[in-house]
Amino acid sequence: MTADASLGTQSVDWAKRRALLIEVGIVLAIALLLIFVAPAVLTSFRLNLLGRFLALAIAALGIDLIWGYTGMLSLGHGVFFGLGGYAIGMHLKLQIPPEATDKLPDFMTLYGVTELPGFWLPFHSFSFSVLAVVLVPALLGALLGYLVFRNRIRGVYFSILTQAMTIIFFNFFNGQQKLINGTNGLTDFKTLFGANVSDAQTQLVFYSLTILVLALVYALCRALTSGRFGRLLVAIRDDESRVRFSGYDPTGFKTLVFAISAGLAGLAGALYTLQTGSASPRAMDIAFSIEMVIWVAVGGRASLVGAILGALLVNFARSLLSEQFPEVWLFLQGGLFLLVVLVLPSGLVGWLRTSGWGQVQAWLHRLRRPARGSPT
Amino acid sequence: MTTNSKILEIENLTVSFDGFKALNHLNFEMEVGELRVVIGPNGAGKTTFLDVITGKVKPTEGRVLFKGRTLRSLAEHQIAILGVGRKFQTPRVYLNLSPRENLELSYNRHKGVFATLFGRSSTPGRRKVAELLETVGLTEKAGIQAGLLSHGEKQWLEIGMVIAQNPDLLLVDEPVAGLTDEETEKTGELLMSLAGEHSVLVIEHDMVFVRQIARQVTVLHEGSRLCEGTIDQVQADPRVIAVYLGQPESERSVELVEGVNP
Repeated sequence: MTADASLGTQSVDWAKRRALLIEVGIVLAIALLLIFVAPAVLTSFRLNLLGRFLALAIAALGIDLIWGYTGMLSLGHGVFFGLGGYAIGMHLKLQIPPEATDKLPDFMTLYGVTELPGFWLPFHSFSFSVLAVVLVPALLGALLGYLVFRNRIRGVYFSILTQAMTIIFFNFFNGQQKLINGTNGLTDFKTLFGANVSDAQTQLVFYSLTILVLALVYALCRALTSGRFGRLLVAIRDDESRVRFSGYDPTGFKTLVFAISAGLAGLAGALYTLQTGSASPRAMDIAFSIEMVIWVAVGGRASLVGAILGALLVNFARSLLSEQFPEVWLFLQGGLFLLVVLVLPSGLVGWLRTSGWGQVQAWLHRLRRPARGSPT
Repeated sequence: MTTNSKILEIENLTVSFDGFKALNHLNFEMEVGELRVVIGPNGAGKTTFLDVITGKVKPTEGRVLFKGRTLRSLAEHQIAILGVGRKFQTPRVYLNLSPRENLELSYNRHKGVFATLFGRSSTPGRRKVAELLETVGLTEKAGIQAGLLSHGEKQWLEIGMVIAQNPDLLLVDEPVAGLTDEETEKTGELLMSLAGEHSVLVIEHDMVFVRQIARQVTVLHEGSRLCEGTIDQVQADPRVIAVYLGQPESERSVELVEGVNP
């Protein structure tokens, strides 16, 4: 009996290991395809779009962690995204050519600032800036999360608080002309490590880097969501007070997940900024935070693949449609969200997982049958 | 030494919600290893009673001692770790996890954030979970979503989850509501087998079931202890008959005054 049981668990372990190897293989294959084949096939314009959207997919994974798995609807992740963008943007603005007379970012000279504000100084260091990309949003998330979750603020109240946060940050970043170029944001980047930032070759490096980071973040999220920790997140989502009676304190778990999710949004913001050439307060606009949630809703909550697909699909749809009909995109986006909520409440991937395949097959069957029947 | 033989002591406990006293100067105690049934008509304060013990509601007055230790300043999860397990009236299991995962989360002894993140399930842990699945009859369904289980199966799964926590005191709120007669009897046997090693406090309406398992019964009424004794003593008590069957208002109030602090 015990021998049987141990054999059973061993074979389960093997099956698990095999499934894991297959998954790693698939992720690697997709990453290699994107890095080596996509640049040969796509125009540089489309490739740049793809790179940006893959950066957004990193933020979508973060949203999926807290919303899809843990059940906390954050409508303020644009702030974390923006902070990440600003952190790398500040480093880029400090790459001042040696021949320049003013050793200041150009906009400061324009607004009559003569000395670099203190908080800019550490951003001379590349490694500090990279750490700040992740840690500034993560620490802000941890602080906010701890205060909110410890006081058992949940559901709609939590969402409203995160909205309030976007308003505060948007107004601050939008208004500070002298410190961070206000409403224009940080743009017109020149070099990084001496390489011209807008060069096709440099952009290709940023694109590849984005794919690499996305693959690593996917692996991190898989690790977080698959084990006991992931099951506890789902338990918190489904019945938080039951979790307390099982002896777990949800506060720490929620704070950690919120901080990780914020850090991922920061990372996404930095990669996005590298590929768009600007960090703007518009990322902290309320609408952008809500869009992030829409990507995950469309792709499928509590599915990591769904979050990535959702971010790519919605953004490509947006760029295609807004090229054709620039006026109507926002209506379409709203309609898309309504459609998903009403018809596919668990998103595309959730639908495929449950009833989707059967329905697709039934359609195909119906399409084929008349074709076969028509000769008679 | 007297405190050590008591698993639970409740002294002069009052809980009021906006002036309404759900519990009113309640006194109650339970020995280690005892199986106690608490009955009482609707609104007697039974669920509030469990809420106070588990830390969900804080007492307005009086105190709750668990193994001689006051629970006032502790949060729900701390009380759970101290050794109080609770089964809710309507079964509350994690619907999107499988029965095995439900039991595994409850069994896990290291409930900190990082212990949960980096901890791996141990072989004795897996064996214990397999045993519990057998006990609650869910071995066949160990891998499916708990949301797909029947009502009775969910009841049993939740009892299994509470046992998995290995608590010193099990609080079981209406475990046989919605179960068939056969399931009810099996539940009774399970609870009786737990007593001794654990202390078990059951709240129940079903008098057949109470008769099956009860040695000592406490009757709650309007937030206070009305009487206590064996099931036969309690059922013969005119005050109990009065509150269950109803009585003219004037007579009842007289009975109650006698009943509060005998």
